[in-house]
Amino acid sequence: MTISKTDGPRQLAWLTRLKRSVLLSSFGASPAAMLSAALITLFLLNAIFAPFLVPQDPSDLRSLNLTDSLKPPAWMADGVWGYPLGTDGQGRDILSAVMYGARTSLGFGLAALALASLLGIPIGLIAGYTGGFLDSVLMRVADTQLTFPPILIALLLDGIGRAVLSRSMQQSLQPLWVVLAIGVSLWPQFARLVRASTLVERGKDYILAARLVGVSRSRILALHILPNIGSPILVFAAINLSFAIVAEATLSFLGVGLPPTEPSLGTLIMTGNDFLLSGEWWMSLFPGLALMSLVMAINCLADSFQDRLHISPG
Amino acid sequence: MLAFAFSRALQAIPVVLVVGLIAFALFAYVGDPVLIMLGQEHTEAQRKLLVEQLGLDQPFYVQYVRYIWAVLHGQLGISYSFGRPVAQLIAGRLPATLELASVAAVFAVIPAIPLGLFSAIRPRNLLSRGILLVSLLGVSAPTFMIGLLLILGFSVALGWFPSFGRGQVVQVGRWWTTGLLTGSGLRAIVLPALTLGSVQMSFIVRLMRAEIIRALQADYIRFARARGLPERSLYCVHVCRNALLPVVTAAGLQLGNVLAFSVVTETVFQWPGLGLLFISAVRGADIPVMSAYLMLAGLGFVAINLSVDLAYHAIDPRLRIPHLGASSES
Repeated sequence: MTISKTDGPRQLAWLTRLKRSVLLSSFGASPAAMLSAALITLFLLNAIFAPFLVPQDPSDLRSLNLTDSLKPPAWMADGVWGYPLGTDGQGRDILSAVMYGARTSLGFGLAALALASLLGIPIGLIAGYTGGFLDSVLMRVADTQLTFPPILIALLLDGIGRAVLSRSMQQSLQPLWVVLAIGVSLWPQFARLVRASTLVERGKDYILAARLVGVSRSRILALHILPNIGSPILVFAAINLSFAIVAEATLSFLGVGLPPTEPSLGTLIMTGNDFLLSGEWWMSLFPGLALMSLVMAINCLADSFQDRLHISPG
Repeated sequence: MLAFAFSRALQAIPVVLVVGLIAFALFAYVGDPVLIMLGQEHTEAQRKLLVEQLGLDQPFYVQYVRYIWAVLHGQLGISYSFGRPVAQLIAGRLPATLELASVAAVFAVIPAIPLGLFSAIRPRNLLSRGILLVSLLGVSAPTFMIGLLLILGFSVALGWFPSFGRGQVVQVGRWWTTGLLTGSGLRAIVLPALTLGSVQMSFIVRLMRAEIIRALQADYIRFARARGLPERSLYCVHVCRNALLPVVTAAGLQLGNVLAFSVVTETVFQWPGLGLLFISAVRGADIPVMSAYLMLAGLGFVAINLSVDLAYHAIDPRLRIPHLGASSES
């Protein structure tokens, strides 16, 4: 038996499912959604291929040329086409820095989102399915945290990290800590959404049937309930991805996020900010534009999915 | 009504106590306060004395109760980095933040309501599409980017407004300093308030639009149309009154976010308020300031939620009938 034989029809079935998919058909309806999807694809490709595409490796100090520092973008009087978006104070190519920065921002946003869903989804499932005392305790905790805006929670956790860890440990752990701070700041929203959907599913006949034939509780949660509440979770995750990216950028902009050795878009904007008043605007503007277009594209796409699936925000 | 207010206030107490517990745990267990207060060189006797003075040898719950008691009396500890009482620091910074937040709220609410109304009534109008796009930008764009763009446009390029600071301030009474009475103070508040207000404004515009579109589909509007009411009174009297309810609630709940965004705005504009104090505490791991901020913010948020709840209850008569209230809340 060869693999291709069994694979053929299955792939076709996948294709037809994809063609009938509600999510995909929503692209055709809205040009804004198509544009956003194209932008996001561009950012994803950049995230994968940036090291092969950049004109200059911004972390490689040997490639920097101090005589080329503070060049404006190429179309301006002093600009050179070697540095299409200009250079920073050390002669670093802004385009390359933005490409690497976008990659870092997207990566950290995704990591924080993954942590938030790893915490929030199981908690929501368990709370919604078991109910009772455990449910009220978990939801009380979530509600208490929800009284605070997530970005404040992330800032607070960040500050606690600084107080608890020794200086050298803190510096090496900082990127991980940023993921932790943002991930933890977002879990209650996930838990609330998942719990609400689980409560609806719990009473349905197929769950009852599964319980009757003796399917274990964890199996019911993972294989029966979770797939059936998948689409609102996905849309919700998309909205929160843009939040996570902005949160990381905000922390980095405030100087408590990623270190300058691992610059995200937020870090780039912060360093560029010092030059803003002396007229070197390109250092903070271009990373800012990249950040804004990424976040807008994600929001816009999530919006159109939401309209399509008729989900009200959690 | 009174019973409702009472039960809601009771529900808020555990939240405050839990926040207090976390603030206390931060205060007491993160970092070693004795080491920080005495420095590296001290004798065992000095250490013992301080531990006794601070009550650190007492059991956990005694310390917690003492902490809450002290907080209730306005004693929030001493800042590690400034060496001054936290309460004093906060009191000095509070006027700047409150002024910024109030001016921002004015900037946000006054244009947002007519813009939202217009974009809902004329959805195909080019201006409405523009409003919608700008509000999407306002919701999505990070606060600090809006601030930077404003600085770039109005400070660097045009030179109309200063890019940092609070301008000249005047002492009013014993506790309050205001920048709203001097020319430079008024000029200084424009850009930060616009930045802080932009998020609120976009949010209110989008919500207002959604609510009005929903209200326009209601039966009573169709009936009002059938009665031949003029469009103007239809929108102003019937639609707006019903659509504004959820807007008021949501905008009120957004006040908590204003505090969070003020941290960012104050950093961008070096505005000497609470947010700047908080971010310097985060940078310098100044735990007493952080825990006091947490406590204060927690109290503030609980108070906001509570008053929004009560206001909603007071405005919407449907909520006062138990069985109706349950259905209209969902």
